Amino acid sequence: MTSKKFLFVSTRAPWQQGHAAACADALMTHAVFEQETWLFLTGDGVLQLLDKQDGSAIGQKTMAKLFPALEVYGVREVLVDMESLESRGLVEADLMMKVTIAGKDRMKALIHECDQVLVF
Amino acid sequence: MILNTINKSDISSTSLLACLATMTNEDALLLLEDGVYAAQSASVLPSMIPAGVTLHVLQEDLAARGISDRISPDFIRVDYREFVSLALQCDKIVSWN
Repeated sequence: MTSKKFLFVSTRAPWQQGHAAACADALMTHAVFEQETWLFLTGDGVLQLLDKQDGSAIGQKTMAKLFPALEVYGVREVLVDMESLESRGLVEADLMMKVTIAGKDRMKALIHECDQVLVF
Repeated sequence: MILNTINKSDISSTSLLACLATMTNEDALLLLEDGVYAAQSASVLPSMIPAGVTLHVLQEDLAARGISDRISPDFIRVDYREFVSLALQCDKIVSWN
């Protein structure tokens, strides 16, 4: 199968209108079909990686549990925007897993490098 | 050349800021739906855009919102047909939403 490079940019908080879940679904689908994928969390999207999320409290599945599995699915890299973290008073230790903390320059480079960019 | 489209007001959405940070001077920006509010002369947006970026705004969405007369001269007004042409000229489209 021909492989393309896909960048997923997730910009919403975890429970906002299902955007984050839709992004995760699309990302995993692309990865499973052996496409090269990257996930960049920016803006409120960085909140998706906060540790201790419990969806059962609001009758939902805890989508955040998917994140540690992304590597198994073949997602190349999960990146988090540094400025977005800082502006929300967060540090790397607040996140549930090891990710790449990056600046907008890295996002810019990925946008140019990837064949398709999907923003959620 | 990348065509960046924005369909949310610049006041309610932070996507525009992410978009601005990733554009290069060869790229194009098109505002549509509620994104067109940012094309108003009073908006701070035009001053934040990298030099060289071509600015477009969808005229149907301006008319629908009654702000056709309030648009910064930096923007080129396009209709749906021109939107399609613009999309075809670009290598890829990033729809910030």
